[in-house]
Amino acid sequence: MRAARAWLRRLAASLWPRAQHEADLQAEIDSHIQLHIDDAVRAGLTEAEARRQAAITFGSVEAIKEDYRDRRGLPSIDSLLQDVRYGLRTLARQPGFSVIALLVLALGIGVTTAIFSIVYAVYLRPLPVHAPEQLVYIYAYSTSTRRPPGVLYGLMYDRLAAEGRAFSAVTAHFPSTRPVEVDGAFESTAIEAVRGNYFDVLGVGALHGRVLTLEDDDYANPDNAAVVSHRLWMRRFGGDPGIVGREIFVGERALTIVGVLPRGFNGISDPWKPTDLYATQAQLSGPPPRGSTYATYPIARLRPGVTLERARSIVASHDEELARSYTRESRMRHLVLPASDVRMPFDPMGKIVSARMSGAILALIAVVLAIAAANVAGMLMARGVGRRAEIGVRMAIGAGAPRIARQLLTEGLLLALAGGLAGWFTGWTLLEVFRAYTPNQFALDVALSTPIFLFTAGVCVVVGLMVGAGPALQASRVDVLSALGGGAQAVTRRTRLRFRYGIVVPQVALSLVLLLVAGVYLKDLLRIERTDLGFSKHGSLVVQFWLKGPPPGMAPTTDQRLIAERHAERTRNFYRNVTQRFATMPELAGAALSTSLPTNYNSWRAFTVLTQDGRVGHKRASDRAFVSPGYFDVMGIRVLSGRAFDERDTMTSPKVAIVSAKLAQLLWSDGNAVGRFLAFDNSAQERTQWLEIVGVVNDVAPVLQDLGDNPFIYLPLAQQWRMSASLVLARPGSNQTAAIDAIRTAVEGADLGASITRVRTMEQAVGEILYPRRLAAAILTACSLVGLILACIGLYGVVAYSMAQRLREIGIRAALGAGRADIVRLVLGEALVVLTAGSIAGFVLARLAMPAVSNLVIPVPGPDALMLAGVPVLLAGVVLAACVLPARRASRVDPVDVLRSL
Amino acid sequence: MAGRAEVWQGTLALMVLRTLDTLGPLHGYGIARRIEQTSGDLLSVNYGTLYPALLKLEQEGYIASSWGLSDNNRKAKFYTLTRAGRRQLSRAAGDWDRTTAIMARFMRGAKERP
Repeated sequence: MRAARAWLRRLAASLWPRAQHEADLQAEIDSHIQLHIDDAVRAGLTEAEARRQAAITFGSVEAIKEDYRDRRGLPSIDSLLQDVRYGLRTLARQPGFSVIALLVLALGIGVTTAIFSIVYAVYLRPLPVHAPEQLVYIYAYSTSTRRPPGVLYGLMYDRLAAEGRAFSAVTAHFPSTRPVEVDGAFESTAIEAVRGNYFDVLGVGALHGRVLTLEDDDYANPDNAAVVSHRLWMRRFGGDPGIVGREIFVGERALTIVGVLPRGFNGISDPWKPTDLYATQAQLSGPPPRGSTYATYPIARLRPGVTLERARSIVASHDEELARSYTRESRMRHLVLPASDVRMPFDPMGKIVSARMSGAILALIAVVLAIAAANVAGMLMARGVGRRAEIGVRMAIGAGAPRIARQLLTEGLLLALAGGLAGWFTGWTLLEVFRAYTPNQFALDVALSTPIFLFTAGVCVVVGLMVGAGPALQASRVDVLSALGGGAQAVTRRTRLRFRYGIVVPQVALSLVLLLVAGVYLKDLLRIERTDLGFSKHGSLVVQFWLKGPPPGMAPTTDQRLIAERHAERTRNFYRNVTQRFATMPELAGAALSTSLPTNYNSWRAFTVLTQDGRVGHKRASDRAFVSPGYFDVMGIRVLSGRAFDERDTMTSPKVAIVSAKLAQLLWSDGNAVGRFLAFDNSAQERTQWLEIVGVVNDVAPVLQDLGDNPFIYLPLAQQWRMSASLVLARPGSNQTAAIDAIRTAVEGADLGASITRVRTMEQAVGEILYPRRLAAAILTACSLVGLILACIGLYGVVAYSMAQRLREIGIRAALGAGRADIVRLVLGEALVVLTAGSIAGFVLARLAMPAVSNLVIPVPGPDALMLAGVPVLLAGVVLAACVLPARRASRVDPVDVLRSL
Repeated sequence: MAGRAEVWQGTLALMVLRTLDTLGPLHGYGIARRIEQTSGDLLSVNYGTLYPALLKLEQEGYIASSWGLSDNNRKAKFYTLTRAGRRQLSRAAGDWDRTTAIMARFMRGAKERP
């Protein structure tokens, strides 16, 4: 207690300006000596003798003051503050140097802070559920196709749910985007169709009301329960506390809000895309048709003590049993992935593992930081040569080497701290830019939070130590005599070489690796961006709409058949109406309706196709879309043979279809499909519904899935009994805004219940799919550019330093007759050595690193010849640019000045 | 000064408190003289120890200081015992008595051994 009080008072004394304390102490000592003199004089001594006696008795005033000061403040803090004050003075004395050092650190720390907060948001932030490390996702894939893993069907789900060995609980979810209506306004919303135990298994409770329960799995449950996210509650309901009990529509389905989820729970199926509404599969889509089951993505919780490997082998044993069962699942295998792996960019086949991805990006950050720190250390060491005399003086008057080293470390930390502050601001700015360019459905929370702050603070300390360590080591080797003797040339050629290579060569090497990796990745992205997908990615609009039923003015009925007939008639009217309006609108160069976009592939959308030959094994899984006439024109898909859909295709005309070239090839080896027939191997009714193929169109491929050409069947919307188109695809005329308004007018005018839920350009639709790739490319490019800039600054500093050191040598050479060209050659020769050594080291490093990156993190092709040649040329350009100023300066050295100073 | 012992480590603070308790507010010089006189000039006070010790006692809150005038009208910094200092003195004095009693008994016992 007393000790703590004393410590606080000492701390206060340390932080207080010393002047007043010092005056007080001096006055006390003066008074002490005066009292002594007075006593002595009273005892009979002369004034002078008394003063002498008093002084002798008192002893060394300075020593006593020193002891006193040690007790007054905290000596460690006193000397730290002294170091800080001294360091600040040193930095202020050379503002140019300090500004460059600060810029380097702000850039390095800022970029890494921004990247780290993105990595943290995507990969490292724990899922907002109870014990997330126990959660696993289960995906099914077929051994007979190379489709990406996807949903599970009932049989396996039931097995897993009954599985007592591996999992303590199993639940399921199925994400989709649906029109959700609040107070008459529709909006495309990300929803999850889940099992009733979803929140129970995740361990998530409600903020208001309740979460879903197993009772909600009953279709007949009158609650019609839906749970909404905090985000939706705030955005669409203004945070109204009376939300529980309110009605909300998901498409046609009226649900009742029973609860609001806590803030921060944005769903777990994909951390990028927040889910706004949850309801049970039974409530959303009714009971599954007889003989079939819901398609779901299961999430399971591992039993305590069960490892992932154990769970995988148990699931594999089920696969083996099913393989002998001759059911729909007999050719299915199942993947068990930890929840931490199910992050973007997600690849269930395990080619992209998020832990490795985040590790790789963190390594990247470390490289950039190392370059920045090495740079500033190099600059400090270069300056350290100029400070040899000063350091020599300080050592000569008694400062020990540790004290000097501590002084230099403090300066490094000061720089890093200031750089960290500037870097924090830089990072914040970068994140603002990042947020501005993030599509709004990716609600990635990249705010600068506590973990980010701790990261940056840690980075500052590490960088500060790295920055300070070099000069500190350098100073500890200063020889006082030679430093004071005016011989600032005591640096031998060996230490100079070691210094030059030690700092610059790794920078050049790392920059080269960064450039190569970024280059290869960018090139791969460009390849993907430029891939001809078979449809036009540019210029068209993608407008989602929703038809809300039942149509007004009709007598309500419970007859399902009648409802369906009315619905079909109404939608057919709507389609006819809306397409006629489109055709008359000058704002539109073309418009069509479709059920889906070919930009991505969904395993649940694929259907098996039968040909009339009916040969066994002639079944093909194929994607399909219902489209209106004009679809192929708007999408830029060419008709290779036969015809496109037109007005001839109606409800009463013969049923027709158009296939992609790939499907035609798969079904009939001659590829000659026009005039032949196919059917869907789906329901009994569809199996006998033969469709005549009237046309073959070019293939389309999903944007990112590297599946190659996707077998595709197009069917005329006009011939469908059930209507489900929800997209308008349009080519705007000259003005895009006018085109969007025109589409809105046409859609909303064609049916009272029709409304637009979302408007995008095709570029945006494709961009959402490419977003993770583009982000990764942006991060890599930013890192490599920052690395390059930093390496350039560092090279400049080191070459300039080296030149300053060799000033006398250069002067003597000039005096002995070396021309300017010779001097410039001298400088460039130095740079060339660095460049060559750095490039060789870089290539060796890249040679080792690239296959690892490709195998472990993300598959990228190897660098091509252009890149292998181009990157060193780019580096050489940068190196030369960094040498221009020092070379000019060196070539203008006046030999007379130099010789005089000898 | 030769032949005089330095104040033993750790006892100076107690002596200072005792001195202030007996004489009331006093300056550093006065405290030093008082300790030396009380010891019959057998002890010498090192000022390099005395002033930091005073500072420590003040930081711990056992004494307080203020500038005032000495008997012969000299400006001097006077130290005063605080209430906490008085408590500390009685506690430390008790400890000291016990310690010396134990030491005395111990030394006696050692001497009486046959």
